[in-house]
Amino acid sequence: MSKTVLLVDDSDMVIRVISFILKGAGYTILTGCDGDDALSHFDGKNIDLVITDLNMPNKDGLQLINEIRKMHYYRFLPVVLFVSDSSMNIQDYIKTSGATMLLDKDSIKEKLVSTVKKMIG
Amino acid sequence: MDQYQQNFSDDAMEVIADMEKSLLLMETSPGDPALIQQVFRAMHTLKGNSSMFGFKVITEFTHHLESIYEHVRSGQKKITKEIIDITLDSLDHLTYLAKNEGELDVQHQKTHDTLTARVVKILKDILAEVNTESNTLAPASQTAACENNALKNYHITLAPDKEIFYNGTNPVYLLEELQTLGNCTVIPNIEGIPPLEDIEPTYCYTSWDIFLATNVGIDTIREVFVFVEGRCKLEINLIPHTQEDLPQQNESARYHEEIIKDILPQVSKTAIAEPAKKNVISSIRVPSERLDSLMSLVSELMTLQAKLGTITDQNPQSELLAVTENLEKISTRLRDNAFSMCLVPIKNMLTPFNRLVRDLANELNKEIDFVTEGTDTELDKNIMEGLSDPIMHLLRNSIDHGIEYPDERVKAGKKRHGKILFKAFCAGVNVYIEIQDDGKGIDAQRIREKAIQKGIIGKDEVLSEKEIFNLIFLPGFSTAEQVSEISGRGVGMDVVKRRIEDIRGQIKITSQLNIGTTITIKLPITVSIIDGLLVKINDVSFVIPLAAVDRCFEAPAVQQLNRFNNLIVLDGEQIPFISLSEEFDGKENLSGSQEIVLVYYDEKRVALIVDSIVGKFQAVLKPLGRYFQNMDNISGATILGDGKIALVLDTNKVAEQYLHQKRLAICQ
Repeated sequence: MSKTVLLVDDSDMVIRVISFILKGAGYTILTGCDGDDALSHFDGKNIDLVITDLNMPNKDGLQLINEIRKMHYYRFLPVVLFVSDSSMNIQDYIKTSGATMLLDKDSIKEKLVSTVKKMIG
Repeated sequence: MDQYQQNFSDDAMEVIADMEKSLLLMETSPGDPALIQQVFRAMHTLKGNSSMFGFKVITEFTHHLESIYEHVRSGQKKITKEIIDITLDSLDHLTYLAKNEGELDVQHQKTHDTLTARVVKILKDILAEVNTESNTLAPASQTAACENNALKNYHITLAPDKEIFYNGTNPVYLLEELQTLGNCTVIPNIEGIPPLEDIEPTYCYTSWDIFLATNVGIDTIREVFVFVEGRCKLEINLIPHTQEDLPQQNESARYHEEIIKDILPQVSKTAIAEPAKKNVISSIRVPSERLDSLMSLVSELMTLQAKLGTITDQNPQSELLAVTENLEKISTRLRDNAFSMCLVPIKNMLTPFNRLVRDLANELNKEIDFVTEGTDTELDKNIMEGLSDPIMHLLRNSIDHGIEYPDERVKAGKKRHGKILFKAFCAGVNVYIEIQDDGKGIDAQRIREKAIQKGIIGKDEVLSEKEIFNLIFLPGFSTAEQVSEISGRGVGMDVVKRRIEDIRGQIKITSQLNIGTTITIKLPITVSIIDGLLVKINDVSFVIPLAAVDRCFEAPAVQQLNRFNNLIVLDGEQIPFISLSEEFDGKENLSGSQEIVLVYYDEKRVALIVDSIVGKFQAVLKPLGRYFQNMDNISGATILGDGKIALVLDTNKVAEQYLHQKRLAICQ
């Protein structure tokens, strides 16, 4: 069975592009347009990885991660967080955000599939 | 990925439009954190998306802007007019960039450079103000390992914190990644695992010793652990010489690794599912072409429905009747539903107007408040598309010719600030849009003089004030003494009027000298299907829009009509009547009875004489071909149940033409 990736971004286009790339790599894709919307997927479904944007309406990426970490069943889920400020101190940010990995939108083309492969096989 | 580039620019346009809206709102309530947040988020999205597609120019440009708003958001900098100004200018530039995929020609390169310089300057000022050092976050200096191709041996100890799983990190994947770097031996250290009864299954108790033979530098190895740094004890040491005992450890190491691999996934999956609340999708986005095709299908359905009705009338079987009746009910509801889907609140079209008033007022040094009312009123999106340009023009007129300069206003005893009110409301089957300004108003006398001078009206013609104002809409009439750059762009009010009429609307102007001008646009809610009254004139079917009909009468005997000045007395009121058979055919139908349809013409009423009234009919409006474009009094055609064509009358035009001819006849 293919692994399932939940993709959360408020930009419709980003969702389409990334879905396209990841589907090409053989993953099943679920999508959400913001934190709230994404949380509706956490109803016992099998989700292997969450990829989320940081800035979103309703619930942003950090709040989403927080909520995921609070859910018993999903609390160990790996989460990739999109950031675009490369000057950020990664170490601190990982600690405070609860994300498993940070990814720059610049490097999606090159790194996305390999990162996902690395994280969930 | 290239097929998504078009999407990018579409998406970018949308984001930019949103931003523009927020910015204009921000001007009135500069402190609103929600607005700042919105702008920041839009900026962020734009930057992220452009960098994803490799539009470097856009990314860099947006980055500076975003930084400014970052400071604004964090409260370090107050939003100023300067910032809003430059952001709006930048948005225009970004629109250009997004359309042209980030390519710049010479002229835009110049704009780009000046804008960038301005933005960077603001940013620098802010930085100087808040005195932050933004660049201290450079990566900590790492021991640069000299890279040569010789294999080196590293000893890595990895001891994750107990809570490492809580971040979703799976250390096994890190180990796997290490193995891709070179020949790798992993030895798990399970001494930290407590006795069974004390085990907390969500903790990580294992640590690892890893021996890695590789030709990559220490930095590359560190990179593997970059996301767990700070959450584990990590030591990476270069072992100066090859260790002999490595191969012997291999076997036991693999064994342990297997075990851990087996355990780990279970740890994260044995938990019990928590009931999560379900979210309902409250709205979806549909491309407008799909709506258009839905509408045209519904129209076809209505035509078919009419046909079925006719057939049923010819073969009145009870079963067929029941089916027809039910189908009619459902298709009517389907029609209404499909209509309501095409309705869009008017506030969606307001942003450009806001912007126009703001920019133009600035340019002309006038002070103008743009107030909107009733912006939730809904209108068919097709109508709205046709409405944007005319309203732009009307607003330009109000700003340029209507509202006076602040000093003049004060002299005239008015408030310094001019006011333009944009008001939309719904009444009956029509939507009204009013544009009111409190400027100097229109001098009816001057218009009259001008019309005489241009030969539009005769010297001794008596016109009511309303008729005088209507002269403005005639072709070749422009009130401005000199054509200024802003409102006299060769398009006069006649074009505005024509555009409004294209979407079956009407426009009216009222004005009081020194108090202001009000322009009222009356629009139908939808364009494609209307309820009409089916009538026969000399055995040809016509449809009169029901919205215009007041009442229907049996015509009094022909002799009782006052044929001299074509007036009929109804309810004690003299009403002009138009015999349509005479009007269209040139000959009067004298045989048999006739009926009168009383229709509204502005505030007055006009009687139309037809041969017979067939009944109510839902007309699906089809445009006539271009050979018929000049027939003003016909607004379209519709297909009847028996497949014949009926023309849809524009009663306003019929009355207008008739009265105009009559006036000309009198003048001569």
